[in-house]
Amino acid sequence: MSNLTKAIKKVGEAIEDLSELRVQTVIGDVTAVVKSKKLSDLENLLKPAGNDASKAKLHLVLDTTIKFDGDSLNFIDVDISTPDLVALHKEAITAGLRHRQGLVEMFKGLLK
Amino acid sequence: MNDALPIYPQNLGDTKSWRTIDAANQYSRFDQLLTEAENQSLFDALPDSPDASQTHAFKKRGETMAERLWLLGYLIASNKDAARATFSDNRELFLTAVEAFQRESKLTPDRWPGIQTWNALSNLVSFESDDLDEAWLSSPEDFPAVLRAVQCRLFVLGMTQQRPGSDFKQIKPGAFRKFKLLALALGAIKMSKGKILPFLNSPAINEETLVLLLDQDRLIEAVARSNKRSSGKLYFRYIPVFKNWSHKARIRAFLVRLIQVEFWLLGYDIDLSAPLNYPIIGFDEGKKIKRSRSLTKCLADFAVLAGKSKKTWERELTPDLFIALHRAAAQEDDPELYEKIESRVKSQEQIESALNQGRKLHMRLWDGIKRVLRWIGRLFRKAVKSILDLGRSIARFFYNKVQQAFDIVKNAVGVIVRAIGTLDGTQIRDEDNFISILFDGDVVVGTSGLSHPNESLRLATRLRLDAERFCLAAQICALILSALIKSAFARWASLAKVLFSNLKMCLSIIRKVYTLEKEMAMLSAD
Repeated sequence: MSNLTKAIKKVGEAIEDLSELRVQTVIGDVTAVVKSKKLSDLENLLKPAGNDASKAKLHLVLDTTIKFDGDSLNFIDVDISTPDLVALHKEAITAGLRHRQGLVEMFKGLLK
Repeated sequence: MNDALPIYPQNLGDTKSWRTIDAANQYSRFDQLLTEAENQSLFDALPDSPDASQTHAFKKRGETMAERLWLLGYLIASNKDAARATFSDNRELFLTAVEAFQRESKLTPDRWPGIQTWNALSNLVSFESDDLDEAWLSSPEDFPAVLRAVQCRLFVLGMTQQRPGSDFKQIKPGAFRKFKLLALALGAIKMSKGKILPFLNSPAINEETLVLLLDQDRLIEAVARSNKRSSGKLYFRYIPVFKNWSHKARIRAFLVRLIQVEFWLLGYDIDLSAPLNYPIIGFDEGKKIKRSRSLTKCLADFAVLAGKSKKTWERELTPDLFIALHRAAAQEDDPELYEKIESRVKSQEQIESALNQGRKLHMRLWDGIKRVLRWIGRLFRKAVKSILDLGRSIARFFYNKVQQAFDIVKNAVGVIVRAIGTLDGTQIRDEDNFISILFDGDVVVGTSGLSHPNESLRLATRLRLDAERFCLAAQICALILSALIKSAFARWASLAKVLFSNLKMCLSIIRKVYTLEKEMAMLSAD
């Protein structure tokens, strides 16, 4: 399989969910995530051990979901958010939207 | 710091390594080649108004039009160079010839040598028949310009001694009959025995014969398929209807000229008025034939590219040569040829050498590019899946003098591969932070909350940078694929030109990426 074949196949496999954009910002012990190089453990790390929320390794501070039709759903934990974190979260939303825009442009270009 | 990221250098302070962004570098290289090609007036050299026709950029096109008008007998001049000179030295004569051509090809006779006139002339004289007007094919007798083109082609293929002159009225019937006879003998036109004589004796120009006459690739294919093997060697088939040497001389003229036209189309500097004799395998036992020097050189050059020894084809024309040329046009697989050609285009020196050749060749280079692009167009028509293997396929059709065209397309495909690699998503990690942008745009940001406040700013800048890089990659990818597909539908329409105009749009993103890289470098230095 040529490099181009592989690359295009990768695009096809990866574009499964373009219907909404989700940006999550978490705070806490990020060591495990950094070491694992995978995000699959994130949900587990956000869950508290037993029922004690204070034992969760990571805490969700900000969560934004932007729907395809433009509606957005925002979550903010006012107790632990800081201006720096909010600014970083906003930057992450901008980056996510830019990625989405790039993808849409790519396919729009192909369909013209 | 973790330095094992898959896509980008993780060492945020190492700005040198950042500048090796694949997509941007590929683009930059591609842009350089295309800009150079544009500077050589290879693109956009047709005037957008009658007044603009005096510009230098148009001069080369204008001279080429003058030469083609001369070939069709509309422009009277003692030779090719004198014809070309009329564009600058005798504009009235040139415009009168343009008007006559426009009338005889049923275009508006406005004396404006614009895109319609250019295309019509190209289609009739360039030996590429993909874009022939349907009306020309169905009733060529209504278009004197088409009849002149037929006469010109018969002349080039050695069927007649006369090019269409200023007093041209009709095609020489004998010359056209000779061509029909040859087409039958080669098996390029098939019909039952009972229909052969009426076909040969009919003065009408039927569509099948006309298309064949104007289609270089079909003629090459017909010769490639028409041979026989004897004692382990391939020979041109002795055709029963050609029983004596005068007939054989006619076949020789045809075969030699066909090869000359092929290399001329590929951009080689071949004189189409050169002698029509050349050694042909199985054809000239015991006879010594003088070789044409320029054709010998082309054949030796092509032999090397095709992985043969130089002497394979420079000694004599063989069916193998026609088979190799046919394979090239038909996109048949030949890994060895691909490897051979690939190894020749790796160094910058070679690219520059090709550009220098391009400067000297002017329009001939353009014709060579068109030839390659036409083949690429066929690739798309044959199978969409071949797009995926385009880079590899194109390589097989690269010849010495069209190195530049090949390189442009090869780089374009390289950009696609690398750009799509860039689309794989981004991860930024250090001991206190991680940011992951997934392929579909979802983002996860994690922080220990312990890092320096400046770190947040650096991460934010890095996020912006990666987003811009992503957009750049996506846009380049889209533009190139889109241009490739467009050119497939437009047949041999200039792929490189489409790419060039589209990719200029990426410049704003590239500038943004570089600005962000500088910001990032400054933050890292802090």
